[in-house]
Amino acid sequence: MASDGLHESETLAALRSEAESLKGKLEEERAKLHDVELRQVAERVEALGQFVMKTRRTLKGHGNKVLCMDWCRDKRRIVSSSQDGKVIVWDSFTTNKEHAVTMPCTWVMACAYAPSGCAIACGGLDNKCSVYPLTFDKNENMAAKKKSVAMHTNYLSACSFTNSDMQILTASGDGTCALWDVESGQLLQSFHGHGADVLCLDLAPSETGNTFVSGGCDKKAMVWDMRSGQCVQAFETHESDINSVRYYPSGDAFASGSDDATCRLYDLRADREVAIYSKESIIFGASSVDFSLSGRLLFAGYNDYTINVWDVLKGVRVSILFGHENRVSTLRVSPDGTAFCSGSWDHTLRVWA
Amino acid sequence: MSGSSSITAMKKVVQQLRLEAGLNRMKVSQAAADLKQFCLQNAQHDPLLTGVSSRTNSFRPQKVCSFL
Repeated sequence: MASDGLHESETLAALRSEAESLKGKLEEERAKLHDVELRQVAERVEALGQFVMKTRRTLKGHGNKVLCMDWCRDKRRIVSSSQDGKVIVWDSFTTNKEHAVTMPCTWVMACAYAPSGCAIACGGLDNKCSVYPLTFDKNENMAAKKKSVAMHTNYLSACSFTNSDMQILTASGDGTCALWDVESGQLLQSFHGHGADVLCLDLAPSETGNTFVSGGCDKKAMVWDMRSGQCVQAFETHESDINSVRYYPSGDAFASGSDDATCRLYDLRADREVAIYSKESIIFGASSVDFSLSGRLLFAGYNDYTINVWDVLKGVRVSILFGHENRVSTLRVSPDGTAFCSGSWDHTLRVWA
Repeated sequence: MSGSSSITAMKKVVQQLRLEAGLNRMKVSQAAADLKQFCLQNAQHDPLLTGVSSRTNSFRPQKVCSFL
């Protein structure tokens, strides 16, 4: 009825104006505390010297673009997944392939190693996340023991086990993240808030509690409370898709890599962006980022085939690594910080140290 | 009705913004000082930063032993 319609539009208008004023208040509050830049605080810190980092191992065997990789906690095994539907487990010391499984879909965009080292999870265009126990029994077919855990309504972009083999966190092109029980496949919590595909996620270091950060095509990075499903903080300063997010080792900040060709550092306690890692000469998107153990170095893989190494505190690039012959799509530092591995559209993975 | 669903959606947005506006924030100078402190304290234990020698880094080439 006409009067109901009028009442509704008044309420909607009232809500909209409250939202605008709250956004304005948020900006004001954040700006008040912006008394200095991170690089100013780091002015007196000794500058970093020259870095000699080279490719120490090249892992060849994928038949198409490498899309994702993860390290095992044993600091030597690596799982990687590819556009060709294959997921391979490697011994990075010897470069031997220890396991291989063919997924029923192409574009396996996500893979993760279980904390125990006894299983891997992966998924992609099948909209699922599946767990495969790793067995050394030559007679056993790895694919036979496959367990379907997560079901999304669009592609799986990222997955990660929590602190145990029992739960998996997933991110999807359907705009949501979700927490699943591996054994039962039950959905434990879902996280709604992104306005578009979620492309990446990272769990907070265990000491800092039950949160994780996600990044998406809506240019937002969102921090979530795993128990309540609530978004506790959101950051929207990137100018394009956020392809990668990674927590700073202390858990007080996180870095992001984006198609806008920049990487940024967001401090959670200051609730704002505190550094931008960019150069006029870098015009291609950053696909993947990770910190060295102390958090001083940020390694970022780019779509221009290079890896840039940034001084996190001073905001300057300290090294540029060449080697890949196509986009770098994934990058992770090893659990003991002695090396990092990059995967590329050139079908290979490289271990650098 | 489409009207009430956009009201529901808007209510969620306002609720979320209220939550975020109510956050306790730290000054950037303090937060940045803590980040710097963490880096410096852990610098020695960061192999990629300090450049660990071949002996202890499994990926770097081992120096060859020769028998005398």
